[in-house]
Amino acid sequence: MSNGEILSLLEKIVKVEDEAKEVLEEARRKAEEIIAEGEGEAKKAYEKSYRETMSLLEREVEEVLEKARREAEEEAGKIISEAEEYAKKIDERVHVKGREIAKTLVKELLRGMGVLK
Amino acid sequence: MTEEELGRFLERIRADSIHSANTIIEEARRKVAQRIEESIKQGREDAFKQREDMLRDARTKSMALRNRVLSEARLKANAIRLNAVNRALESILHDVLEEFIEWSKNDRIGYMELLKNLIIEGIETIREDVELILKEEDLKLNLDLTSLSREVADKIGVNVKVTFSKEKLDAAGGVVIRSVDGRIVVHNTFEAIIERFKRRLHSRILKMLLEK
Repeated sequence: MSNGEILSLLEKIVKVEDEAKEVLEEARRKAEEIIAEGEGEAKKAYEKSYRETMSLLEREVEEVLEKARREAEEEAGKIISEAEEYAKKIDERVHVKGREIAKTLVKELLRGMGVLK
Repeated sequence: MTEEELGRFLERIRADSIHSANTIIEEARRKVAQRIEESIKQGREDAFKQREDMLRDARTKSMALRNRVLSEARLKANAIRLNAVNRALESILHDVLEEFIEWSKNDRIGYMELLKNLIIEGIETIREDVELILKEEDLKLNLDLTSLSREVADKIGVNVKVTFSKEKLDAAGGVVIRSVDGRIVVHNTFEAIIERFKRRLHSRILKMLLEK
């Protein structure tokens, strides 16, 4: 192989190696871009995940409050219903026994005032 | 090195560089995917750290809500009971007045006796000359005022003059005894008697109403 041929060979090798370096350089730049964009995506993913989880927790809290409200209203309903039952019972008793009670009381008052024995 | 060997050698360098470039990019993508996955996990964990506080707060609010709802219900229930009791008392006291009227019409002797007692009781309080305010129909009962005065004198040791007022009583029954100068008035009407005994009557009525 002549010197000229060797020189030509080396030139070809250097050229291909330069091309290869450029390809690698380009790949590294692209990788850096991907990572930089990925940081933004990761931040968005964090916020989305945080929001979604908070939303689930808020729903859980609402359910706790709603359950408490339902139970309290149920209990309140019982309290009022008992009072209404009592009132109904009183009204019925007044209807049935009112006059008889009045008669008895008048007798007691008259006895107290020395009129009836 | 032949031309063909050189070509293969150079091709190998190119292929290696492309492979390495792809590996670098793949690695970057893998890192990004992992970073995103970690961020999602971190977001979930950070939010979840607040769960206990949020639930504790919800439990406190639930308790306050429960207390408020039950306290309002108890107030409402008490008002319902109280209304029923007041309605019952008013109704029975109204019946008591009617029974008084009924009795005064049916037992005239008893009623006269009652009037006499009420008058004496009033004079005992006033202890001076009095006039009696009666219902027009009760004036026809011909109450003996002289014997009444005597009875009072015997009882309290004071001579008082008893006369009928021209004024007519506007009540269901009974009598109003008034000193002649109008300073002292004793209301012994049916309504006043019921009013006077109201508190005692209330407890009696409730006892009788609620006993089986």
